[in-house]
Amino acid sequence: MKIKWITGLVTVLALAMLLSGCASGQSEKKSETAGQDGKQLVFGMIIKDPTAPFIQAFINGAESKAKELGVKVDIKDGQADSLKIMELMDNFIVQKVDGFIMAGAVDLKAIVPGVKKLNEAGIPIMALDTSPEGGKVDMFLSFDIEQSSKKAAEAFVQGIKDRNGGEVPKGVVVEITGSLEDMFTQACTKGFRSVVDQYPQLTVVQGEGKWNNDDSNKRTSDLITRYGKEIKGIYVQTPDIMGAGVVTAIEAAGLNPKDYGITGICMGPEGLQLINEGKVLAIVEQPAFESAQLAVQYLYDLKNGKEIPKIGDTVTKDNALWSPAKVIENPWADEGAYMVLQGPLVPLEVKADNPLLWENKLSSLWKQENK
Amino acid sequence: MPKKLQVQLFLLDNLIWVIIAGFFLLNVVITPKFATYDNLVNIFYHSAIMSMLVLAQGLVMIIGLLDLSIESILAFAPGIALLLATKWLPGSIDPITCIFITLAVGALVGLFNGVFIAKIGVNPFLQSLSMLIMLRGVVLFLVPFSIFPLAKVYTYAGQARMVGNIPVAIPIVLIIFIIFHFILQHTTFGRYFVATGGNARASFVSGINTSKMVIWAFVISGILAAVAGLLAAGRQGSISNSMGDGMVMLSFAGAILGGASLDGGKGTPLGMLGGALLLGMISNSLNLLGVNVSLVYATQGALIFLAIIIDRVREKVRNHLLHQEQVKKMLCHEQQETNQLAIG
Repeated sequence: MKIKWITGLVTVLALAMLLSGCASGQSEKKSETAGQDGKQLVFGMIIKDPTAPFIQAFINGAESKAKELGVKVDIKDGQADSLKIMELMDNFIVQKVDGFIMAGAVDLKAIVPGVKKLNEAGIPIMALDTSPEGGKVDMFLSFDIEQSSKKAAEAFVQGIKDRNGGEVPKGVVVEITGSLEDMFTQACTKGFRSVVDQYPQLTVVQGEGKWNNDDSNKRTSDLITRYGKEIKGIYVQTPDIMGAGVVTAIEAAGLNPKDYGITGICMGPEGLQLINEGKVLAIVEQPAFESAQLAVQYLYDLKNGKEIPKIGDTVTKDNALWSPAKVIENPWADEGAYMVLQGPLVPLEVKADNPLLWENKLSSLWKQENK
Repeated sequence: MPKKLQVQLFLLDNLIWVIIAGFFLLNVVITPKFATYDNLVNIFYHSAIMSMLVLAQGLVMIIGLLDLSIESILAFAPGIALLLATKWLPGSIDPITCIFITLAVGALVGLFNGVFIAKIGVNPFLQSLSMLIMLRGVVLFLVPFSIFPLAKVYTYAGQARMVGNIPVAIPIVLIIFIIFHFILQHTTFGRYFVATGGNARASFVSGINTSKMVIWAFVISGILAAVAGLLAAGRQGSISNSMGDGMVMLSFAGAILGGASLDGGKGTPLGMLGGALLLGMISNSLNLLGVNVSLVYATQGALIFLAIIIDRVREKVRNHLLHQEQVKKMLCHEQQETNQLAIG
């Protein structure tokens, strides 16, 4: 009887150990390269939704640059949950990481207490995609969402003119948006409206696509049902994660996507494919891969006592689609710089098969997934 | 009862602390930076919010029912309180009153659940499921953007730190656990409460107002979920509509690990604290070890499964031990009788 009892207890403990033991095998091999003090540099990085291609581009960009410099990037999924993100930040502080990259949060106000803690611990911060709205962020690297949306909106209006004999007719344009509480969504809308509002004969109706194809599909279907032939064009804020849903909704209604001249920003492999199929007119590419590479490079430079670009500088690089990039003051955080990367308009400025586009650079990843 | 049996039963009833001790020692060996002061404070701090939900769920489970709505109350209570204070009511409301309104909203939702379940006989799973979905929907509608800034007093519980950089949230949570432990172990109310969960019919026959006990369970659960909301709001310095999303399932895991059972009448608040700490420790060690993101999810799922198995095994072992004891007693008894007969 005693034996049985002990066996039970041991089983339970063994299970508990297994649960954590499966973890220890995962830790990576240390490489031999070092920072200033002879220890390998480790940068913490938090992402959201590891299944999204642009996040994959962040991951691959950061990891490829880390490999090149001989540093380690410790990537964690914050699941777009502010509490989870701050928990991971606390862990990074305990681990005494040498730098931190914030690559994807939804509620940018809620994570500020965590950012301030990192500031207190003296850990430099890079931000990608969206900038925390407080604390000190050493460098926020992104294309200008509003400017890029403006560029996409101009192509959108040009498309309407091309389909209507050079005129902008009276009618409705649909704007499929991301989550309405997101800073990204608001910037997209601002850029889009700054162009479209010049044409009072166009009425804008919004559908909240919430950054996914399921919602974008439903909203598009609803709006097509409601406005039918009045719709002159459909603008999708980010076709990489909402374009496919919009296209299938148009096709399901027995209509042709070509007649709606879809444009937006953030291409991704799905957007690229839709452009190649002629179902999407044009998209401004988000330099996701390059921004993550730059973030790792700048953290490395900071740690090795090198200068990183300051407010007022303009960074140029040959053969880089993001160049030239102006460095201005970060308008969202309390303190820090914002490096405004260029986003090329595909296929009008840069051809869809250009090997410099990360969608093509990482194409092996997507091809595996599409099998 | 012999000493050995007492020790065995004690260990069984406090199995969670045995597991925690084992897991802790294991991590000291294999996890870098795990046993540092800052990290241990972090584990307690990160478990604070979940521990309130585990206690809420655990108390409802002691009464023999379940409450799915707690994760929505976590966002609903502070959200409504702040909207009342900043938008709906004229004049300004001081933050202290705001805290009380938050707890009151949680209590009201709990009362609503409890009355429907105890008096009208609605199935607790369906009742709390409908509230879970409805309240989250209301929060999404009323709080489309995060509410900030929050007053210092309101965020105090979730954000402030005291000596040794210890967050205030830790003592607050510990005190709440100790209070509930005392109530359940040493008051008439507590005994009635546990008895209702153990056997509602027998309790009713012996004069306990069982439906009142059920209502109390849900009210307390609502209040504790509101406390969790207060801590979460303080921690992020704002109120967002996604707070608490997906936490309810793990609250079951924590409560069962802590000794609660789906059959009711079992478990202690201090056990629930252990359950919440184990959840926090596991998540912390997986993070420090650098485990693949998706594996953390899988581990949490495995944990719920483990909790259920532990619950069953514990039950079996306990019955077995008590049965053995009975058999021994009977044998002794027979032995004595034969001896007496022989003497006679």
